[in-house]
Amino acid sequence: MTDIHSARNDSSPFSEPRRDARLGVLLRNLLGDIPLGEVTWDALAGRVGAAIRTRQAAPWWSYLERWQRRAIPLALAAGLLGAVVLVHSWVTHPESFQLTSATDMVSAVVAGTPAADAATTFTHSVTSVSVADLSADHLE
Amino acid sequence: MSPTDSPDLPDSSAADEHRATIARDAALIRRVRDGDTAAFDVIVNAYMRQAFQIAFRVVGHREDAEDLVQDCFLAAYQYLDSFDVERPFGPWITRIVLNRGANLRRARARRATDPETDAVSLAPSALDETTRAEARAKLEEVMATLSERQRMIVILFDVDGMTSTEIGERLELAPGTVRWHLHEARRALRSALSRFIEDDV
Repeated sequence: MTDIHSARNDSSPFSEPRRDARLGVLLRNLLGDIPLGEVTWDALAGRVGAAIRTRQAAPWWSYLERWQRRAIPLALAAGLLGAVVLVHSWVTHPESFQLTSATDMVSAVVAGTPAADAATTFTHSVTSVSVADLSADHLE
Repeated sequence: MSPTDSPDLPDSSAADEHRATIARDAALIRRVRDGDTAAFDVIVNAYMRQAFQIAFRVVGHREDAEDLVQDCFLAAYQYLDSFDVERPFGPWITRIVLNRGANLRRARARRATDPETDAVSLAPSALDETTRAEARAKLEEVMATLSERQRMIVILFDVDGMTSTEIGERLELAPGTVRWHLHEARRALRSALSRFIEDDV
């Protein structure tokens, strides 16, 4: 068995170090031997294979389930934030909430307004460009 | 691979065997990438003992080591596209085990559990229970100061009886680098555990 004091001289980087049996015995006593004989290797390989095949078979939406718990509160928070921003905008800039839409244009056409006039009105409501500006641009 | 990291192979037959293993694994990995899952089973069978050996030394418990091995092969499969088939597979899976095992051990340490308890309780020792508990505490203290690489090298060399060349192949290090890490780790361990080493004999 290698003596601890002589073992201190075994450390030349150019040759294979001697075994430090005393240190080895102590470490083995503390860490234990590797229980290679206790492992059922076929079962372990089977577990690995089964885990891989399960992962392969998982549909894409199954990954969404992992995020479900976090996604619901996040969506609620985002919805609440959106509502606050909307209300704030409505209070501070009520003019931007005029109800003009494609439905207005359809109503105008049905009521007999010429289609070109209805389209100009709709463009104005969407882009906020006045009819005068449109006409000026068109004339230039 | 840098020259300092390449394992020195002792003779041409070992080098030939090394190259043949890389070629065999490369062919298997290409098959896996083409969708042949059965080819990965061959890789698992070839490397699971080696992976378990490292895993047990990292986590200190058989069932945890088995779970870690499973987790690491699953990760290897998932990231197989990033693996360079010109390099050996063994060191790659070893590195995955070391990294994930170290994370697991740190997580357990934060939960203030004792990872070595089960393994130690199975091992007969000349030390009495009080001294062993004291030695174990000291050992854990010193091991915590070593790098993961040094910790693994001293265990594989002094406990599991591997040579510096074998460890170098396993960890993809030159034997000289292995010996240097071994020297550093032993110096720290001997200094801290000398009293227990004397008592144990």
